[in-house]
Amino acid sequence: MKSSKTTPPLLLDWFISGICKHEVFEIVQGDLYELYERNLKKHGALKARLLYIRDALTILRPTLLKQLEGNYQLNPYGMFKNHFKTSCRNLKRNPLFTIINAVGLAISMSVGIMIIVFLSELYSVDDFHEQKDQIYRVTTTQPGLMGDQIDHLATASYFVADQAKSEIPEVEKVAVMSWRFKADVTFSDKRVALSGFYATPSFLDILSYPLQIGHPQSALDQPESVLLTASAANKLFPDTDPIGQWVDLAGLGNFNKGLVTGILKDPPANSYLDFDIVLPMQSNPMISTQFRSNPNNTFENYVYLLLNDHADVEEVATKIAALLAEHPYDMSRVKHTLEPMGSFITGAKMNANGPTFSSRNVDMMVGLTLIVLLSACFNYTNLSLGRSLRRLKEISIRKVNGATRSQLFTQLIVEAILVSLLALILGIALFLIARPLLLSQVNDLLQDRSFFLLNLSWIKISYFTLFALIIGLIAGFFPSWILSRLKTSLLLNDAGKIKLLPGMSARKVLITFQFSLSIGLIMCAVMVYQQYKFAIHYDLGFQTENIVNVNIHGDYMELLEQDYKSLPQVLSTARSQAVLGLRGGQFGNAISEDFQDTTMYSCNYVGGNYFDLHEFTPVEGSVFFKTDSANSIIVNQSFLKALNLDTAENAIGTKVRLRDDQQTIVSIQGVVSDFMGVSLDFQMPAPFVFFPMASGQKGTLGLKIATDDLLATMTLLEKYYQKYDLVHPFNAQLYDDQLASNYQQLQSSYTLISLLAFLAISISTLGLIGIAIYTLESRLKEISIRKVLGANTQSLILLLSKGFLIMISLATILAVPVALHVVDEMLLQSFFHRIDIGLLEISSGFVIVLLIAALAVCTQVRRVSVQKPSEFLRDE
Amino acid sequence: MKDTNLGAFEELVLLAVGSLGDNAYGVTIKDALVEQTGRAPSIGSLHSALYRLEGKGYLTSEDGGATNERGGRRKRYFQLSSSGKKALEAAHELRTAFSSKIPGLNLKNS
Repeated sequence: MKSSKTTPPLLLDWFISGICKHEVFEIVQGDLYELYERNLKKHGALKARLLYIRDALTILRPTLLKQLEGNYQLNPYGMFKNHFKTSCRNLKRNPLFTIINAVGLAISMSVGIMIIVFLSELYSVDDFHEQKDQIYRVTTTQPGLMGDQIDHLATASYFVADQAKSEIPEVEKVAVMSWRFKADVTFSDKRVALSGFYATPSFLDILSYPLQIGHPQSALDQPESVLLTASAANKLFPDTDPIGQWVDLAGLGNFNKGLVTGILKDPPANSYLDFDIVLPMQSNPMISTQFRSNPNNTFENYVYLLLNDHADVEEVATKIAALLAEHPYDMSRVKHTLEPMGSFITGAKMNANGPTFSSRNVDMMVGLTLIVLLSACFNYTNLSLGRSLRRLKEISIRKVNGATRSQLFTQLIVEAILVSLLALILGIALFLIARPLLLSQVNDLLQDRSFFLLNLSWIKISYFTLFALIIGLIAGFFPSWILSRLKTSLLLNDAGKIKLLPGMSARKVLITFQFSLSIGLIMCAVMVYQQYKFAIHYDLGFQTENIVNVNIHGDYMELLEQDYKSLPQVLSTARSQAVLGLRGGQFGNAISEDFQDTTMYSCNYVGGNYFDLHEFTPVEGSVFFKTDSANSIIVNQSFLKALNLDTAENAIGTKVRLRDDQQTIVSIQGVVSDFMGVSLDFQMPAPFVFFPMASGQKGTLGLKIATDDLLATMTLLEKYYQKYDLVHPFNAQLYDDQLASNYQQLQSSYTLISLLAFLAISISTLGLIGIAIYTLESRLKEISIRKVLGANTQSLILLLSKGFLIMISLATILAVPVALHVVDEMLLQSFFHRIDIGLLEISSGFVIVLLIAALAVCTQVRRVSVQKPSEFLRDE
Repeated sequence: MKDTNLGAFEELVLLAVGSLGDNAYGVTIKDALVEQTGRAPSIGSLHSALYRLEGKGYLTSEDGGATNERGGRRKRYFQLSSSGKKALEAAHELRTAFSSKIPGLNLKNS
């Protein structure tokens, strides 16, 4: 320490020597030291040091500082220009390699882009509500009505809404909304079909659906008030002022005249709720005082709470539970929770009033995307390392010529970033190509509403660019680091001996994992597709071929039927209330006349020759409803079995009591054999009852068609239809198409899974090619010697593909049980009638991946094995 | 013209180097300047001026021996070059010619 006091500050010296011009520094420092010694004698150590520091700092002026040179210049334009140029040349020299790399990255990047766009839209749902953070929906968890499952409902009882408003201080406002309804609204000669819900006046206070015209305080006050959205109002009142006009409402029970009191702005595309019309809750026929006071009526209403900004959500939920506990009914099986507005869409509730996209799906999507992206990065690394064996000489010559490690590193990184930017452009193009497909699939999954737009904006594109830069950095880091680290002498000496990567086995594990992913996805796709084919070709037990179903919305069905019968293309017709084989249906309860046996049944109301048209298999009695057969029914065999009516012969004429009041007594007129009355993923009671259809009922008109020109026939049918109905668009479909659309979701999953499988295969194949190239390049000499000793191409292919075969087999063993489980538990869990899983389904993934991988490996092996051995051996 | 331009401080440094003859290096130049002007220039500004003047060709320099008190660092001796002398003369002429135009200013004996 003592000696340091007599020497000038060394740290400062070191600093100055680093930044000062070299030729100046020594002289200046000499002067400084001389002055220091002088000051030391004159003023003592401390002052001398301070003076030294003062003098030394005065050196820091532009003329005396080092000029930045070469790559130390502050403006590194020259360096980047050079890197850019050499990178471009390198990429151009190996076009195949560049394309494989860029395409691999592009495919996964398009997935990344899709997910970024999708998630940003998913999480911006309802962002326009000003009080979004304070809005909660009361949800209900209770035992299901059928079976022993637990229902998670988005609804809650009106009782809770009333109580929360009056008893819980944290609750500022409460809005109650009903289920969505459909109504025909008429004004003078205009008639439009609208959908919407009943809501309490506070709906306008809590949610930010602003009124264009009208007063928020009074718009929903009167029982006859009607709120319309701007677009609905434009349809209904093209040239009149809508406010204060009376409209007719049809299809809403007792509420049939309404006064327009306000026009709402159209809800934005990212609105969770979707509606054209809002009616006051007080005119909802379902809501009576009795209904409101029963906390068991949890199924009909959505309760939105606006909490004050310092409310504790848990506490409010506890208070709601306490309110229920006080009720005289035993409410212990009903649990209420508060769901924040931000998670409505991911809440996955049974009867949600908006689109649902469960958070499990979101997690799955993000997870898959990350896997895809990381695999792609990993593949880039793999491929680059494989190819870099050929570039070792280039790199060593660069080194010999004086390139520093950081320069080499930057050059390789710039190359990777260039590839990833190229991939980004390709990726955006791929995304734009796939966008319409994705859009239809995604919106199909979400109640068929164009909820997602998947729009690109410049801000998003700049995010993607950042994203691509990061991907480039990640992908390029490892090869650049390894290659720039290598010693020159080693490189020039014997490139063959260098082990670039010790972790060969780790890479193999990763490739195996990628393969099992692709095998699993292929299996899922194959099984879902098989189930889809199975479902649409399922023998329902009645004929649907060449039958067109026309939706009828009014009481004119029989008139239209007569008109259609006169057409030469229509062979026969039959009326029915519902279309069998689709999702849903009606059901009821039947009791045998002696009260001994009881059963649930599904039912449909049909016209006379329904059984004839659909070619049901008659078993006994008459299967034709005559006009006087009002109290007769036609049943299937399951029904007889359920009511213990032993033989079909005896059953004819048997009386059966129906419905809960047990008042209606009907007699069995005929029996048909069993058939499938609902879609395969929908459970309904198997006993089936057909009732005669009363005249004037709405429903479906089935037409057996014989025509070569379906389109012209449809146009003709539409023309007749429009004689009776101008409000509802003509809606006619082939029965078979309707059945197929049952399984739309299955088809959507199939498309999405195939897409993913395609991605996974592409990526894992690229990875395999990477490994293959690497293996081959590092075994060039061995292969050459083998060839000299007489090995032919086939034996080489066999030799080199053995390892890959093992990897793929291992991947299959891993993938099969997981895929079977996923298909069983997640994809087809709702189907009661499933395909048998056979060898085809299990081996599909293995065979496809094996073929593709074999192709990939063989082309690489061939490429090497046709080269002359002398090329590689001449240096020895 | 920019290169031959001589600043006031640079002129003083040139004068100091010229007056010191063979013994002109950083510390002695500094001392001479303190002695003549009464103000001490900082080491940084002095060396930057020397560096600039050498660049303009008014000074030449050669390495001298290292001494112990300098921590083993060599000295660099500076000398006035012929163009440096010319520049001093030109500067002096410019001044006298310019100031003679000021009426009532007697510079003859200075």
